[in-house]
Amino acid sequence: MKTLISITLTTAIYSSAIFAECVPPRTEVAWPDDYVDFGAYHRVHPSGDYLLVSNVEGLGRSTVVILDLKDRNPDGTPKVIATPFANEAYPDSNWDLISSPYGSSTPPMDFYSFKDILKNKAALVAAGQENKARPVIAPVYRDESFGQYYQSIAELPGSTPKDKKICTLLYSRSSEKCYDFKLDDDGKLAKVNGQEKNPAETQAAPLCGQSQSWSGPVLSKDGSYVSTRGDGTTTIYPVTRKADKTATCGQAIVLPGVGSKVSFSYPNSAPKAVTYYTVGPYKDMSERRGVKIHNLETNVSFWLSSKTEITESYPNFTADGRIVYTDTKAKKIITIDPNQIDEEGNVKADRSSCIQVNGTKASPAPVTTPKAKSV
Amino acid sequence: MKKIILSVFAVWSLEGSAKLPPHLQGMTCEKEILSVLAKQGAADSWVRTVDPGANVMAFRTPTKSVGRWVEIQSFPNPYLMILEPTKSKVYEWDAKTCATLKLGDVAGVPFKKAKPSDFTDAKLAGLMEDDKKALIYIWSPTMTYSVTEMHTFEKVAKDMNLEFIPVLDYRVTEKRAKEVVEGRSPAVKLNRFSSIELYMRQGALHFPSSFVVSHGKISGLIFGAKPEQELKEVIAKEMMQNSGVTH
Repeated sequence: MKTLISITLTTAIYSSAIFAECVPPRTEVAWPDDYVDFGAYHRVHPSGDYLLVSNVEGLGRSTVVILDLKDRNPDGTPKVIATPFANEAYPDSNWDLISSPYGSSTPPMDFYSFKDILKNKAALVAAGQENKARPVIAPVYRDESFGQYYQSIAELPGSTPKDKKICTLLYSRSSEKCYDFKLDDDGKLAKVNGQEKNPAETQAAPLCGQSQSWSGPVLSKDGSYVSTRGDGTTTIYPVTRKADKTATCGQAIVLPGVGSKVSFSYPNSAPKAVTYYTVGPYKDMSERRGVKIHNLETNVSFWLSSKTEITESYPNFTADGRIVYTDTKAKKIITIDPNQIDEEGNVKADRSSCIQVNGTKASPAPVTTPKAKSV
Repeated sequence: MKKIILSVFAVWSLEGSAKLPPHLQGMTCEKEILSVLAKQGAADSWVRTVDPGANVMAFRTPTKSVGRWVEIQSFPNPYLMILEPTKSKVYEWDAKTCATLKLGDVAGVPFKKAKPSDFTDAKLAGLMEDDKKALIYIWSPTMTYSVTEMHTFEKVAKDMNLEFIPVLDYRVTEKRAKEVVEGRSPAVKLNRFSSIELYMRQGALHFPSSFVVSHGKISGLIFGAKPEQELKEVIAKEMMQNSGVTH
């Protein structure tokens, strides 16, 4: 058993100056190395409190766990919650429903309630950390019509926790399928005359009439954009959705020098941006594996992770615009506020941008020496 | 081994008439840069890659030799790298005088110390030279689908008479790789990734990444896992492009 060094710290940059109500520029949580391999596929809860991690174990068996970044083990590492999900499970924008594909072309696609996971958390943590049997948790809905890879999910405007209007976009054939789930207070399918009401759903069809598959397509959180990656560039299309459930794609927006799958920011957060994992060479030609952000308003990318960090997983946004990624070298989960990082990767000395959780601004903190993170 | 001529791209710039990527044409010290590009046999197949920093662009292009690439970065002092496992060089020019500031080997090039079992540029060149048909499948235990869907790629390769060559992510431990494929039938050879050619084609950014070798050429990147039928269609298309036939 490895020795765990539990560290939960805020970087020294503002250690003496952080206001409790402010979003800190950067926080770190130690990775639960005893229980979970890093994997590369991660998803982040809109609050930043949970991190979903997909992995593969012996005999190629897929496992998915959720790390609770607020509820820690005595050593400071996050509690590890086992789940019944498989492969690259993808939550909707608010983490009410989590889709779980089975890969290949084999149906089904399951949809689980995150409330079910939290309700059974104690037993699921015991399964995740103590190798105990995992309680049976049934999916809220099983779509037997398809199974696919790399789905992304958008939650359409007007969706609510009880009337979930979501669309899934599949990598293969760039097909989209939309659902209207009626859920009860427990996050289960609502009942009509004692019978569960299955979601109204569309047939899977190529988004925007795409005749060719896009490479690594991803929907934005509200489905108003779709991204596709290519050699050296990533392209974003605005998506206009119509009442008849069809959609059209607008003029392409090319993000130069990106070339990766991206994760979109939440619609009401700032800046409007995508974040991504990429590999680039240093000037001495050694590689830099890290996280970048591309501001969609200025069309400029910059590094968020420092050059001493090594990232090998997908970064994701929280609802308030922070970004969560992992440093596999230091074995840490990093949460960073890009609003407090300048375009050279330095933490801003000007704290006037510090954002309170309730959305209002805090008083500027004393100016401190910025952390150098030049390329 | 005789020198392999890589004819991946339809249009090659002739030696002595090298070009910069359109974004950088007219840049400082262009004459000096073009001279180096011509000597290196750089193709006019520039692809923009990840920006090294704010307001700095980077472009890369192959050369006529398998495993040798050129990357140029638009720092105020123009910066050019020749990447290959054993003879890599860096050039940097003073923006005011265009005098060469740096010229020499660099330490950071990956894959300098390949083991015999590794998948190297020499092996890739050998496949191309011998006119072999192969599906190179780059996988990692860090990416679920690259493990769970390997069987689909293996089956499709067999169905299409392609040699299936699994190549392991160079960053993971052998112990971790063995864990996830132990007991698998057929067994997976743990040949590690050690190819500048595939690296510069973004073969190590996402897993699985695949390339088709046929007609003495290497295809573009096949990104991610795909259902069997779709994978067959994509491979057939790449082989057609390798053969020079396009529709």
